[in-house]
Amino acid sequence: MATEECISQRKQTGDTSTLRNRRSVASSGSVTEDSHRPPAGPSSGHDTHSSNGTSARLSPRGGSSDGDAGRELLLLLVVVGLSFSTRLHKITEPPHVCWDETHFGKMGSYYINRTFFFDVHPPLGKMLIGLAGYMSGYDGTFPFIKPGDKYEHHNYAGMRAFCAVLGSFLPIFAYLIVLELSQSYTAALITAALLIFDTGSITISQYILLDPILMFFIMAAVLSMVKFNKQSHRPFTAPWSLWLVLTGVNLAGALGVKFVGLFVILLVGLNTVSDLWRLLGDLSLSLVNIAKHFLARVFGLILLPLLLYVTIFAVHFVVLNKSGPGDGFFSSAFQSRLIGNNLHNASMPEYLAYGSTITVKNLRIAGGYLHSHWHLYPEGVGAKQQQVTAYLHKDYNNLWIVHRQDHNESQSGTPDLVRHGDIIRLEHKETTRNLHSHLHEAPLTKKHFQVTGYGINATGDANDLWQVEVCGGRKGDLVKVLRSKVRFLHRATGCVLYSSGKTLPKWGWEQVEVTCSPYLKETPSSQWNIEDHINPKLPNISLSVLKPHFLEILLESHIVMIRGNSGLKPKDNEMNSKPWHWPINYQGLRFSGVNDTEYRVYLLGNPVIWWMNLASLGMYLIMVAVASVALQRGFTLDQKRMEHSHVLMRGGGLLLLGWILHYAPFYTMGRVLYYHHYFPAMLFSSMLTGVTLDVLLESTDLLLRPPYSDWLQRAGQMVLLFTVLYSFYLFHPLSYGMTGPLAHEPGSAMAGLKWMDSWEF
Amino acid sequence: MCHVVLSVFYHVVFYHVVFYHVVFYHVVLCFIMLCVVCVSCFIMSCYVLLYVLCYVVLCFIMLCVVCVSCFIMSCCVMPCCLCCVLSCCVMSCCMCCVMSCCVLSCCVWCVCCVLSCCVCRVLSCCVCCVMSCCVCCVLSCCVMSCCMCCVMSCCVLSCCVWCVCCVLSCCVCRVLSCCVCCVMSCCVCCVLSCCVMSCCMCCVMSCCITLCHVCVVFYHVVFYHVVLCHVVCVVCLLSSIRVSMMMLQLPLVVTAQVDVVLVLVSLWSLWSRLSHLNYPSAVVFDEVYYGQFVSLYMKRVFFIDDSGPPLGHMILALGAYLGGFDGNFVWNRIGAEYPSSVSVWSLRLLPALCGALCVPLVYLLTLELNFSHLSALGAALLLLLENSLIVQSRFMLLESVLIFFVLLAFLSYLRFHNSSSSSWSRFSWLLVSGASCSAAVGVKYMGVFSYLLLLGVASLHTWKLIGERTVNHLSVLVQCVCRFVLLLVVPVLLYVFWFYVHLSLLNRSGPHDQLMSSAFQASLQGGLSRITQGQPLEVAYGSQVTLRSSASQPIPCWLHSHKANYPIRYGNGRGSSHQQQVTCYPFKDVNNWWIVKDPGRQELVVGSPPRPVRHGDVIQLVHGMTSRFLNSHDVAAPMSPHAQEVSGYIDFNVSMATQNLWRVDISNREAESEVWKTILSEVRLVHVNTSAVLKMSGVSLPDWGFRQLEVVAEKLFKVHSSSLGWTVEEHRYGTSREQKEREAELHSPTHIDVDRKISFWAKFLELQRKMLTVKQEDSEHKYSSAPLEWITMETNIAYWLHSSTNAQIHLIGNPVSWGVANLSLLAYQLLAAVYMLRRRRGIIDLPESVWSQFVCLGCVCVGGWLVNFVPFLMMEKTLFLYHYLPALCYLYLLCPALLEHTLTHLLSDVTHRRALCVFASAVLLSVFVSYRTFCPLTYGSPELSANQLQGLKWRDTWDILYRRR
Repeated sequence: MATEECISQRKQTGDTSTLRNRRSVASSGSVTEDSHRPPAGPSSGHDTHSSNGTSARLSPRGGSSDGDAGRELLLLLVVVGLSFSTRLHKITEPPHVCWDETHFGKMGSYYINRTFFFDVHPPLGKMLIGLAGYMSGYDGTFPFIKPGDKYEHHNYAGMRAFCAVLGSFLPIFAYLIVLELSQSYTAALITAALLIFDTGSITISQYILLDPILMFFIMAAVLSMVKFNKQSHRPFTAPWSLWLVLTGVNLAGALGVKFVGLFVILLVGLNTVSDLWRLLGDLSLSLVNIAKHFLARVFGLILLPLLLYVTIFAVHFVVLNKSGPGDGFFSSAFQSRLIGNNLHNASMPEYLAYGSTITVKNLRIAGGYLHSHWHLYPEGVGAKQQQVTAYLHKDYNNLWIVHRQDHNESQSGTPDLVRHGDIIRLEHKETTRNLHSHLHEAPLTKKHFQVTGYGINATGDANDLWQVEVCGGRKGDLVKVLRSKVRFLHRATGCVLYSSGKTLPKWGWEQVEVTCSPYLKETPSSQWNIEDHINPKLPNISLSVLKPHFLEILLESHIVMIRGNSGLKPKDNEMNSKPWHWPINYQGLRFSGVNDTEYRVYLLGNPVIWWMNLASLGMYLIMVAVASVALQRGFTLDQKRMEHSHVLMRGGGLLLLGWILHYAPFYTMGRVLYYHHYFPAMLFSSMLTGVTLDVLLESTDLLLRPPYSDWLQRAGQMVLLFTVLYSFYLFHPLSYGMTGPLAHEPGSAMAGLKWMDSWEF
Repeated sequence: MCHVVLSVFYHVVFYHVVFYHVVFYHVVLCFIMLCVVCVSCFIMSCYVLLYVLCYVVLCFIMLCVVCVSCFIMSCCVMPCCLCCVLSCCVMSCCMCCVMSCCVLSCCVWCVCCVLSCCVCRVLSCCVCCVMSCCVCCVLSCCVMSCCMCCVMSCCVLSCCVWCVCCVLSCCVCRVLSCCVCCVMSCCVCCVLSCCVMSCCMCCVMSCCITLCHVCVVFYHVVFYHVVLCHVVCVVCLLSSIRVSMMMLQLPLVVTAQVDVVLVLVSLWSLWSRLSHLNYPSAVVFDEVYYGQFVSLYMKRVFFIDDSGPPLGHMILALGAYLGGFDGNFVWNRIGAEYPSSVSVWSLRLLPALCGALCVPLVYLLTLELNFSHLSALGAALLLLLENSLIVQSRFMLLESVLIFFVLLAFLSYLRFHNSSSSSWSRFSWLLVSGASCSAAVGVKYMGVFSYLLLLGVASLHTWKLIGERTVNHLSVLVQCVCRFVLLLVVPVLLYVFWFYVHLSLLNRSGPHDQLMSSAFQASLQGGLSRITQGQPLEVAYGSQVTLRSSASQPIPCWLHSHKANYPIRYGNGRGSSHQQQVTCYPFKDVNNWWIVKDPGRQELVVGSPPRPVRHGDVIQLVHGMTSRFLNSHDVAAPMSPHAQEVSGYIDFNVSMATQNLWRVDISNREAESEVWKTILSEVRLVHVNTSAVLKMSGVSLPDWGFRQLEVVAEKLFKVHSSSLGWTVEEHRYGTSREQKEREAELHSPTHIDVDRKISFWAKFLELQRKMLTVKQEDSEHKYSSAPLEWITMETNIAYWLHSSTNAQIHLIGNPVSWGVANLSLLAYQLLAAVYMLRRRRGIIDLPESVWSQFVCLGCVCVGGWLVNFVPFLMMEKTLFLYHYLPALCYLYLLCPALLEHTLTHLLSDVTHRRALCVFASAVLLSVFVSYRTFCPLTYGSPELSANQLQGLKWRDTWDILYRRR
């Protein structure tokens, strides 16, 4: 009885439906080729065919294939047009530095000036920004000091437009992905509408940031993957290879912009694994064929992206060959390849000698130089003596002089060399204090001893003596500058000079703590090397032997980046964003402007859209649970229901996985988090909403009889569209900027729209 | 279709209501006529069936009434009502939706309902509605007639959660001593008889509920119950005694089967763990850590320990309690000798017992995994001869307890899974499993991972069950619900219950009080409650108060002022108002007193009757000793120049008007006109002129401010910031009109006596949050190690060294079995990979039953290893070798099973099989030899010479101590 109803109802609705048109998964023979998407087509529903085992399909719609193609193109054009126009509208406003433009704009300038810098993200995004700036006539002279600085005559629009163009592709890609996954124009259009009219997506695309570039690559990778999946029935053809390679290229791009790209790599990886597993279970394929499949994926998804990724870094290192603000983060060997660095083509005495002036660098990556300055430890922090810290930047206060334990230095002739096991005294050159330690607890690492500067003009006490030990050396070995790993053992207490990596509070100028550790394990934290070595009485030799290998540079820069990332810890008193804030749109980010006289831009997702996403996520879970339990229990479902279940479980499952992969890991991260980290996940969430709402609206016939159900469905779509448009109309000042009074005052453009107290506009 | 609709709907609704009522009435009955129920249940189980039938009829009538009334009422009530019924069982939420979506044809509608219902009920009901509901419930329980309204009002989830609480409060309230005694004795015999006789219906239907609840009532008996129940269960298992009693046949026949091997292994294991238990009569390693908590339990002093939930500590404390320990020993350093008054044996007994019982558990677990007795013996021996486990069991440490509960949980779950699906008694195994899981989580947070694994396995099995077309819908639904309740609801309730016991045991204030809120502290004896007892609750105009800042965790501080002004110019040249300083001061002081004044009146005394201050009222605050008004104005604060200065106003005639009006904003209010309450209300003081909020900035002032903490007023965008609140801590109604009198009054201490309590839930949530958020400074330790070093046992831990000789105890594993374990892990993964690839290519090597056995083995053992090892790789805490022990146990379980699999399914040649057998016995022999070799380091005796110790240093990285002579 039920099936009869459904069939009859389909007959009635089949001809009338115009807007939503589940793309015909054609049965035998009838080919509906699309003009601009040739590969999709006849057997795109291959999997569902075989697993259903049912022969009744939706019959092709009445319209000719030409009309279909034309409408398809038209829809795409509409999406493209709307997407570009919303993103490029008011692109030059405000004409001052907004939020993180101060970092990424500056880094773009560094590329133009070829100055070396340090950042926690891989270089591709900034390289592209730099390139865009260069092409559009920006000369790299604007300093990007702080948000709010006026650009004046500098040409910044090019960089912004570049980001906005990439950002405009997001709705388009989403449209294509959803279309591919659900075969439904309605779902694709819902998704596109959600993304086009989301104020958050617009705002984040309009400025010089890494996020639009990152999201562009992520979406492109997902799109290529989905397209590639569709080609699975005809492997090793040109389109198949093209999409495979494109996936790989985009993966490399995503990872090259931010490490968040790893998540999409994981998504593609999981998809590929399941794909290979499916192939393996296909007994009609020979093992040789499977091996070919496997190798193709290894090449396309592992080797190629890796190669590209390494190439990006190679370009990065080649372009940035001048010394700059990031030098101190890197090892001595690394610095020697930067023009302008004091280690570049340096020459200095080879072996450490008494009387030399040296700098001592910790071997932990991004470890810092041993440093002291004219400030005392504050009251209550050990003894009130001069601070000794580790400092990442080059400075006069990093210089130390090596003395014998007794004071009779040979004044004439060549100075004696320091050997393994010798006892020395290190005097700070600027303040003439000695490096000193004693049985007081260290400021942060309470189990270690405090290290201070003590004594003056070479007078001190027995606590100033340190034993030099070359790691892996024997008694009498000389200490090689730059190449020997040295440990300094405190003579009186037996502890070892140690850099804990913890940042001191304000009284220590937020430099890194230096302690004396009673645990004598050999870790990089307790090992140091001599970097600068100045002794006029000794002959200098060239140190070009230091030049590191490319792979070493690559590895080191990665470790420094990862350390930098995990070093971005939230400060205690700062209110920071928590991952659970994001999906509920709890709090946005202020891009520009604080008070009512300034031009304010506030990054906040369109709340209607975001809450709709959240709701439909829950709805999706329920619907999928219903569908899978029904299937598992063996309920007989009609054709349409089966098709919906498959769209939900396959396509929706992929999108849900994408959302989880881009969202859940943030819960485990210790670093400081921001609202904009959610945007990649939000893209997946919106696509899922498209699929879910479409299926939901399609299922109106469960509730009402055919003609009414169709009306209800149409009405639902209209209401949805209207809601999205109206909410965009309400909230558009968030992205396009607003001036005048704040939202809680009546005269504001946003009056009455501060629906949550935590929003700050 | 219609038929399906109706039948499904009917079944769903029907079953829920039936189930609910059965449960509910049992709860009721167990307190009104528990004896009758128990006795009658045990005597004739058919009574229960009749009983159920009665309710079936009742419920049907009930349902009709509900439906009719719903239809009569407006149509939006109906979905709610339906949803209530449908979603009453939380797990079946999805199920219900399936039904309603596919069948009821109201997809949209239902989704909305479910969403709103779930959210509403879970959030609001759980918190407030239920709290009041439970009281009603208690009352109506007694009457037993109007429980229907309870059904309607609170959804079953909340009821389920709260029935425990209802019962609890019910019992505690009216303690009828004779009734209690009788209940208790009944329950004990009920437990015992259930375990022994395995009475099916009774066990599931009444036992689980009554047992739980009776346990709840007697919290001081709970140790006995929990531990005893487990021990009894295990002992029953241990001897594998199947007692079958034929009641009707007159020659009463008792047949008993005893697995002699199992008994022997258990005895050996008991001997190895329990012999000379008090030998190093000195504090060993982490006993120094757990010991302090044990003695705090004995003194019933409150503490917070972030290392784990309280059950583990309580078990240790139980041991101490049984041994008559009075709490007067300070665990201050490793190696300190215990005085003779301390019964060392009893302190270490329970962990050792748990450690010993692990061995038979592993034996039985192997059997449940469908492997032979020989494999079981192998696994038991590997565990038995593992030196590190012996060391860890023999002292007052928690790992062995954790391992015990985890193994018990898996064993009972597998028992449940393997027993025939028709018998209901198997659900008692599921109950044991859920309870053990909860206990494991209660001992250490690490238990969560094993629990999740078990849930994963259980949900896979449940999913398979759902897929079985031969079973009818109702049965599937019932089973799913049972699993859900026993594996999720019961453990959560028990977990909360551990905290309940913890909090009711520790009722005195102690060193960790300062971490908690004022309200929490006031609920503890001594400490803050000594000061605040009997203060008036409502702050009125004229009240004298001290205001404590909520931001100042963990050090408290109070709003303070004194006779000193801000310097005219600060060190950096910025100017100030030069008015009187207002600070936050971390010590009790007479200058912390402020008087709440009505701006419209002059007097500073409380009228009669007192006029309470409400949310939104505007007040002035007068400093008690100096009579200055709390004031703020547009002058930059001394240390935080972006904020406004706060001062005690002095009129210098410099055209700086007073701005001393403050609006009271109670942030945790429930009603709009809520009265400002002592301790309970968290108040924000909003400056009327500038709408800035009074706030402690956390910066300490320089010398001119006596290094006290700065107080500012700050305009804030962020409204939801918890650090802005102030709580009235000390409070009294002012009576003196003159300044002199008032000063004298302020100097006199406050006391009148009334008790004030915050609810258990508030305390539980606060404590749980604190435990998860309080961060210990990660400290280095000499013996700390990285997780990857554990696999190869690169490190050891020296636990104890004799004060004068070389006798010492180390945590060192048995190297041979360690290697065997790693090898088997590797072998399993290889084998599994090969099997899976071959199966995928259509080559079936193993028959289906063997394959599922192999998969099950992997899920439990390799899965168990993974979940107990991988999380450590991501942790940033200080880690030790003993963290690896739970994971290791799984490998020992895996190893002999894998060997058996190889023997029976991989080797077909007889010679190969023989070779493998010989090899296996050789390995076992060498395991034993290396166990004997390391025994001196395990038991601490006999003493070894330096040369022998040197000989034991098999790895260079091991740290074995020598005493220089």
